[in-house]
Amino acid sequence: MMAANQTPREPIDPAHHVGDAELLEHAVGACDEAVSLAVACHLAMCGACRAQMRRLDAIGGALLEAQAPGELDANALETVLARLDEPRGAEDLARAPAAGVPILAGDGALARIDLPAPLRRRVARLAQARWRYVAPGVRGIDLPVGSGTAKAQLLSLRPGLTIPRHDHGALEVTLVLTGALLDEDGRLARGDVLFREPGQRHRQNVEPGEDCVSLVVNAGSFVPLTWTGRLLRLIARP
Amino acid sequence: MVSAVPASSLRQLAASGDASGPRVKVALTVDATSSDGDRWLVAIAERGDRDAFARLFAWFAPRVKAQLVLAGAGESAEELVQEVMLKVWRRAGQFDPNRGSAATWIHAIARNALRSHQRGPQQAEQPSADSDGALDLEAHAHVDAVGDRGPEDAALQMEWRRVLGSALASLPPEQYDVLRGAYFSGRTLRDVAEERKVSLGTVKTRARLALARLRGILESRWER
Repeated sequence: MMAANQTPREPIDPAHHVGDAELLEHAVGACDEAVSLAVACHLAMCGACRAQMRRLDAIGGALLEAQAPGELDANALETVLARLDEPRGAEDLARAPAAGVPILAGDGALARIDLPAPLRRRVARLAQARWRYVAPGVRGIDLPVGSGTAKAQLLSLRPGLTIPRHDHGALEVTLVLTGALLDEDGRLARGDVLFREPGQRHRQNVEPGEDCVSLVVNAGSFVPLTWTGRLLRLIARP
Repeated sequence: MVSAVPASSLRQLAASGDASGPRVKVALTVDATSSDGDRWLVAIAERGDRDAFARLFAWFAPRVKAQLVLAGAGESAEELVQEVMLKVWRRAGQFDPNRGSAATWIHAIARNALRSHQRGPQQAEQPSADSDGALDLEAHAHVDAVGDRGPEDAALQMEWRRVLGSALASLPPEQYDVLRGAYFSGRTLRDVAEERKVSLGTVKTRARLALARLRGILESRWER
């Protein structure tokens, strides 16, 4: 039976998904935090990937159940039983999800954007969300990331903007929230996610009409391949 | 319905297990415990049931030990098992059988405990909102997945898990090994590849083939 307070699902059906290998790394907790954020956001908007995630989650338990038991110390159970009444550490108590956090402090730069829940929680931790100038037609908001080397930011791109062909020093993940990007792999709209490994050079155009806001995760620096592209180097901060 | 097995015979079963690999064990274990594990955890959460904990411990702790050893815990494995089982006792209230099996939940706790241990005492001591806690919540935001579809009825859940278990057991050993390597240690496929001295491409291919096969079996035999 499902809880009555279940979050309603967005009626969108993204065309670009998280691949199985990447979803597996997310499921086992191996991703950098920023990458996990992007995957979690896609999952919040994609029923097909949630279904696959459910299978992936279940695999961990099935592997444990299938595992031939190891040998424990003879008194292991007694040792643990004797410790059951020890006072709990803070981590065991303070693990309830933070409810009712203000959606946004600051100037409401994101007020009109429907953020998926994992992103909303993240943005709520910003003291202030204000678009900063990155390059002509490009504004950004850095997002807090606790661990890992990858960086996460929201980028707002002006309609019609061209992002010149570029490469990446490391993995780049793009998740579109509003508007659309025309990538060499097709059109990316809300919920669509794109993983680019180093060496996968690409050029993108912002579809005319609406600002394209996306969550962009960079594990390394932006490598422009053209002279004009060097302007956009600023997108990936040092 | 599966009847409960006395903890003593479970201990015997656990003690008699060999360490050779997954194939033999699957049929024996999945049916006997998938539902029991959930029930034990709920009893712990609701009543602080120590007897249920002892049974849960007898069945899971030796497997958690095996997981930790395979994931490279070495000398620390015994101590980590105890820490994991203590966490299971303390956090039992957070377990939701609608969101996955006891085994999945316990396996993830073991993996996280090992990761914290390997990251070193300083970071392990501060599960701040940004590290363990938030990630945990976020990583497990996807457990909402269960809400979308899938077996809501407990018996159907069991059947789904059973099909998954036997599908896993039917994987070629090298594919099984890659999955187990990633799940038990919580490491990237690149790490799994380095450990096995094969290329990242090979490991990714094995993982994708394994997952495609599991998906295919689950979809054809269960999901519509």
